Amino acid sequence: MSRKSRRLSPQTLSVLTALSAGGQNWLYGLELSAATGLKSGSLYPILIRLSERGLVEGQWLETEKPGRPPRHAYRLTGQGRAALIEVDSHETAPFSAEPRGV
Amino acid sequence: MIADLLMKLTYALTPKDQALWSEAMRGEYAAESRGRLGWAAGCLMVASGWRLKADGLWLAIIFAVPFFGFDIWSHWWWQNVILPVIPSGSKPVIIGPDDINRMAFFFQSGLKYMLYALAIGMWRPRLLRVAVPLMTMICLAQVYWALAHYNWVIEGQPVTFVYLHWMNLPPVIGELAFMMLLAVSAGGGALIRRAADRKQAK
Repeated sequence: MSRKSRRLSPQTLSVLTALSAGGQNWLYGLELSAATGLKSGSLYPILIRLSERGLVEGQWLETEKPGRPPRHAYRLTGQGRAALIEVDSHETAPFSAEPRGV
Repeated sequence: MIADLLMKLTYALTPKDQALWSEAMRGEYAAESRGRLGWAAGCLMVASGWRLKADGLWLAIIFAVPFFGFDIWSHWWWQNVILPVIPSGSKPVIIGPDDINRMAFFFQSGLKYMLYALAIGMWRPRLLRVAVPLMTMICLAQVYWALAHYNWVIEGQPVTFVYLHWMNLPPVIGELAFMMLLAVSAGGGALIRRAADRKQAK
């Protein structure tokens, strides 16, 4: 397991999981907030970090209601999907009987 | 209403390199119908973090210099500039009855504020509009704190917030004159910096 994925916090994982559940669909910040229970103060720093690591990509989408600013939507990149699979496989891996640090 | 205000503050605090994310948060705020205040408060927290990261050291220096640096400056000034030149019979008091002491105090005090503002203005010229009121408030707080400390700890008198007569000017005018001194000094610093940057760019 790489150091990159090992460092992911439970909140970060919840964001990745929510994005993964969305598949190829673009998800807005509010949708992610509702799915993860994270407020804007926690959600955006996580999205920024994930975006900087290349795990998440964003796109501006025009809103249907006139006069409203465009919204930034997100989805997982291939790298993000791979990171999530890596974390999942580690968490579901059977307990190793081999003692550590010997 | 309050939420809108928080979002405006968020926008104002956002450094340029995070403008995209600020716009993203604003887009969601506009689309949000419930819990707007909570969303705006979170956005403000994020923007404050960015601002602290970008200008934290600048802010720390602005706060620290009046409370720690000015004492060192005053000590150095009296020991190395004033005491060697005042007449031997004159008492080295901070605000003495004689004109030399009074002038020396006034000059060293004004000079330290001017140098402080000049340096801050040179460091971050783009933050001049924030720096001047901030420096004014911090310097006034430091002066009143020093007076309160002197009255309470040294003289053993209760702390009172008696108005300080800046240059014997009426209330508010003295503070405004003090702010102008800082504004002119900081503006001078900003001009020097911009001129230096232009020269380097050529």
